[in-house]
Amino acid sequence: MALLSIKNLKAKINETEILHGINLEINPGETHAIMGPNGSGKSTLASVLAGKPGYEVTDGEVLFNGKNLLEMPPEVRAREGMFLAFQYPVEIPGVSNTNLIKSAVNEIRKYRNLEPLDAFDFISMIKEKAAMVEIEQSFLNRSVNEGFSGGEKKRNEVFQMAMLDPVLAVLDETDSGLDIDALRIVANGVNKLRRNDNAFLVITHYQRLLNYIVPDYVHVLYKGRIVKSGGKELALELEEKGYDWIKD
Amino acid sequence: MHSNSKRKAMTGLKTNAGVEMEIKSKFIENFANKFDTHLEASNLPDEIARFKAKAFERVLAEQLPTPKMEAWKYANLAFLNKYNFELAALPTLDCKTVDKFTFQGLKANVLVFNNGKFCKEFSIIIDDGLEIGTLTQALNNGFAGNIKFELSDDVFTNLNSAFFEDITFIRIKKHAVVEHPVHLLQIFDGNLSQTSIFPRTYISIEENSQSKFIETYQKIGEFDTFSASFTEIRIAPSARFDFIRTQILPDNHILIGRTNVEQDRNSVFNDITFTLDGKFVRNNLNTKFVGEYAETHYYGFYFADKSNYIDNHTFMDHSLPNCFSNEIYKGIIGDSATAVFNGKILVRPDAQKTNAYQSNKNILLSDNATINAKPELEIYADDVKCSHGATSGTLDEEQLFYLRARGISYENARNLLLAAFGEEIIEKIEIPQVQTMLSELFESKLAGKLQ
Repeated sequence: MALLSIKNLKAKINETEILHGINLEINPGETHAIMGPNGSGKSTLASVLAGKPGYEVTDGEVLFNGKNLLEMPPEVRAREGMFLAFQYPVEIPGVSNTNLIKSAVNEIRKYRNLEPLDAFDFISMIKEKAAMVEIEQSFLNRSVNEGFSGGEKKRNEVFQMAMLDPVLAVLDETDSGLDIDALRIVANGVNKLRRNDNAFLVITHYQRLLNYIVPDYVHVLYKGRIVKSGGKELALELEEKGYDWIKD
Repeated sequence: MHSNSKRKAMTGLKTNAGVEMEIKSKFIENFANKFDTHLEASNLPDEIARFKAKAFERVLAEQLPTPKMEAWKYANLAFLNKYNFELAALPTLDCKTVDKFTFQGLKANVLVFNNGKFCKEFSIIIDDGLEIGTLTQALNNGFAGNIKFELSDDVFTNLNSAFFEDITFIRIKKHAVVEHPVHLLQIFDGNLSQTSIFPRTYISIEENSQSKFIETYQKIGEFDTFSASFTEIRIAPSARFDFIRTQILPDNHILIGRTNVEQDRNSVFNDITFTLDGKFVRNNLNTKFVGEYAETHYYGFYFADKSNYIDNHTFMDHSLPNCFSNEIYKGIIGDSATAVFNGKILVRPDAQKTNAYQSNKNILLSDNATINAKPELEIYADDVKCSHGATSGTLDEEQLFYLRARGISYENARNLLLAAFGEEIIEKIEIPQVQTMLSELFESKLAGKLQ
């Protein structure tokens, strides 16, 4: 059974239809990349999958582990193992990173009928995952994303991903605005998390990220539809020819 | 000793005034019937009695404020007419009750007040730099030399002047660094009857001293109580003074209070007003600069729900140059509660190089909740930096979604955000035991509220 199965997904925001019928299947162990020009619907797809309020699904279905994803509130999707790395992570003054991640980890554990992590296990887990994305302990006591640089925000997303250990991670333009060093750190973090029982959906505008997170499949999204799918070589072709080639 | 005839003459004059003027409110009428007895029973010197008589004349002339008055625009005080408040009688306090109301694990000077009256037997003074006395003592030892007996524009302050039993003088001595906090524990005792309480305090923070005060309010007894307090604070040059008041009161206490602060040269004053509950709360907090280079911070947090009314009126009077003031008030308003923030900043013509900042942020939890936020800036000097901002709204949807996308329930996400909103103020409390207690109370209120 596919981990994620999207069939004829149509969605609109403010009465404007953005997704005109998406079809996509993702199996455990796979990494898929979705590429496309600005305005093609990439971020809308990520938002719809995570359950962001304001988007209305008008047709189609999404099964996640065989369950109807679209019926679940955002927190249940996360507890079922869906993770969205935000393109623009939100600043939350007054809520520390540690506080957020502790609440998240324990609510997810509770949902899975597991005991809350004790302080020792929690701290050792934090240390391990923070080292993976090269973030310092002091960073964790700061308010969520407040005053973080672009690179710090994206590393924080990957840190949270590592802590929550999702079954399916959606990375929404995680590479945008990152310098090459930060991009390597972020990509290394993601690669360490790849296993044959989880999957990644990497959304990006540029091919560069895919040098570091090598996908199994590449899909081109254009005007709300997947217009072309292929292997990793499709990304290189797009880089070379640009998106105009697809539009024709 | 005071002659009885003199007293009668004064009270006679008083009653005449009452008769000539039509008493429009039952609330005032109730006090009119008690004033003569109060004055006759008082042991205070003649000049004070005369002042009291004048203050009550003013009360009769002004009556109970209506929403037509700018200062009471958002309040409906008519509900006060349904009470028959007695003047405070004998205390029913015991040690056990008092112990319950002190901070666990906090070594502090504890000054206990029962219905506004200082209770020496329950109080503990551990620091040498702190001294306390009655009005008579202060008049005798010359310490009351600076106190001015003036009528106010505020009817409740005048009511306090008319009915206070005594004035508690608190002094922080010159150069003293008072190591332990000074806890003013105000106990409102409604065990015997509906009771009106008029706490009156004069706090003198002498030159170059440092001290922290925390005032808490506790209600005991079944009967409704009403307090109209007046606190005067004089901060001498180079002194540093922190005043924290925590107001967490059940529905059967009505709290109205005024704090007037005068700050001299180079002094620093931090005020924190924390109101977590209250059927009717009105705080007036005023600072007047009487010396240059003084610095003032006001922090306020209020959480109004049910049908609470919580009203903060502040007034920063920049009368002299080179002073700094910063004011941050934040509030959460739920159910059908009403909150008011009215912050006035006056920069007088001579007050050049003034820095004055004000911010008021509110989160509304329900469609029936009301916030009236009114900044009032009057600036008559040209070389100043002043700013103000007021916001009110619901919780940030993007932040809520971000937390939920991490697996956190809507309720917990909301609690995290509201707690963060309040913590900005709570963390200004530099006494760890007090900070922890207020944090816990606030968070448990949130948890209860949003279950």
